[in-house]
Amino acid sequence: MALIRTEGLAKRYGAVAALDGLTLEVEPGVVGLIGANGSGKSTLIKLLLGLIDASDGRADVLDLDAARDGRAIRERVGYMPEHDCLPPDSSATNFVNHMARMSGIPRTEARERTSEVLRHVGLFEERYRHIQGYSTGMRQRVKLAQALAHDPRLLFLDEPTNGLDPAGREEMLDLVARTGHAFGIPILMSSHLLSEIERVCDHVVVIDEGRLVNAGRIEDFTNLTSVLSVEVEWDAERVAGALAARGLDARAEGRVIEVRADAAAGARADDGVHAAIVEAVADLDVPLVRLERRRHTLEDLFQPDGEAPAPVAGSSSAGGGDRGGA
Amino acid sequence: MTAEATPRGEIYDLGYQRYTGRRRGRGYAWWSLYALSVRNAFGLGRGALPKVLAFSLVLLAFIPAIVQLVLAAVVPIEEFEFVAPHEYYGFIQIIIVLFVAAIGSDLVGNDQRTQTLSLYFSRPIERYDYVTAKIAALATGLLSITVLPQAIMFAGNWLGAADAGTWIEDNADDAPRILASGLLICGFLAAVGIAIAAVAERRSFAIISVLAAFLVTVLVVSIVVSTVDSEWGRYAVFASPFHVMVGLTLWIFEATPALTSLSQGGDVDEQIAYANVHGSAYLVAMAAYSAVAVGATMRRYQRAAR
Repeated sequence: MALIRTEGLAKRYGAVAALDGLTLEVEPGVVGLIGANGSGKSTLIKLLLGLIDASDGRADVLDLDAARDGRAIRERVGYMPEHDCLPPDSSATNFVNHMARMSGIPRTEARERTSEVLRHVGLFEERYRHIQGYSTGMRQRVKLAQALAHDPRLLFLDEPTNGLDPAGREEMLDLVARTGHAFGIPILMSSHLLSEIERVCDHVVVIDEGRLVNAGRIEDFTNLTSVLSVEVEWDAERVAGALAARGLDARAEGRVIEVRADAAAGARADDGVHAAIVEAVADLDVPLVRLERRRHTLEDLFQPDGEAPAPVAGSSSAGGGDRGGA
Repeated sequence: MTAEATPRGEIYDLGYQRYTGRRRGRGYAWWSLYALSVRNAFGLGRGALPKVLAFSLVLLAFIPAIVQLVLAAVVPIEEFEFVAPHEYYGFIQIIIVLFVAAIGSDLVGNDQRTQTLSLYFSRPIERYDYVTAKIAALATGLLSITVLPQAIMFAGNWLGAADAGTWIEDNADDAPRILASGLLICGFLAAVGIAIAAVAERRSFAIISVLAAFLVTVLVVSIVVSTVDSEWGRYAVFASPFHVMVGLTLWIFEATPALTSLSQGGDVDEQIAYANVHGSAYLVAMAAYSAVAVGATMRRYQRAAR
């Protein structure tokens, strides 16, 4: 079952398109939503919560139509906004308790849940203090706690590490990973930092300017690529020529030659490629500086063609930049 | 048990448990928001300042009732009346307006300023629920400075009367009148107050706007009614929410002063007499003001979620 499914989803504010024909499918797990600031991440989350109406297309969350069943979705989903959203003159325990009740948890159970989630986020000791005395890290934890208070079946986290220092960032990511992996709550977490997504997510969805650029399993993105990078002292062009003559896809850029091995061939073919490269370099008597496998980079993520793996769901048309919803 | 045998993280993880119990619906969420907002209106569960503010206003609103009861006990005149029920809100006009301004801006303004609003809207309620719960909470708060002092005064006058039996026979009609006018006025004030607070956003601006809407209009309309010498000038009373409130009260208590040639000037009561429209028109005007106010608040919150 797909947790989230959108088809040609668009949101326009006047002439500006915050989302522009987004088609994607999100499977259970911890899913990263990555994109630059202003790429439409927050707009997508608000549309999925039924807080704003789509200009075009449709979105389903937990098999409920976001446009029609917004309230049913909000009953089952937890939302941690990007921005500050806590009343300063309330204690964490009163606030989370109130929010649990706003989600329909009866009085006694709401109190129990409040203690549990505040312990889960590591705020148990400070729970009676007023929020205005909290550090940014503590506030982020309260924001997470209120999103968990009603035991959601899906969690939307909008930039959960926003404003945190490196240590706080690590702690929050640990907490997100534990919530998603150890407790099995599916999570859609937005971030503009690939490193964060890489640390906690199983899947990644890449959007840019309101369109799906790419989607897939995180390991497919962070795995080593099939590109070998060969750095030589000089004569890179000649080496590339020699490699091409041996039937390899080689291109020289400066002193570096990029050699593309057949992605499907796997590690055993690499050995043959390695041997061919070493042979060619030795034949030409050029000093070899470095020979290594290249990693996928952020640019690969934003580049739908070529190296990056195919999108997870049947969304290649939108992934290719097709304005499906227009 | 050794420290090594117990992974530290495990203790932490016990905190999260699944919830399989009952989930209640929209009405329960509405009630939770309403109840918390009423508490907040009186500063309960908050700092000292909101409590002092709310309870001093309540205390001030009781002054005419207290004065009435004390004077009635001291002055040796049968059924001494310092303030009649239909005049009460005129006496405490400024208190009522301050309450609407300060508490109203607290109830919705805080959620907007701290952006807690977005968390409410991510809950299984509709925007309409939020707006009505806040209006109901402010109206409930207002009851404590309108119907409550009136009820105390009513009870006090009754108990203090030389002949309680005759007094209640003469004044029994006032009880439903106090209740009806009080409830209508509280709902109306709350709807308008919440709308102004929601649209104005900033606390100071909200307070000034409420004062302008309820006090400045009284002055302007009084001037218009008493100076414009035309058939249409008298309809200006509908432009002042406070005039509308008084008009409704006088109608409910059947206490509109007799229309005399001098009534064009004078106080608000006399201006109502001069306007000489059927009392039900004030009820309609009140409903119209409230509807516009709720509409404006809804519009404000449609925009909020963007």
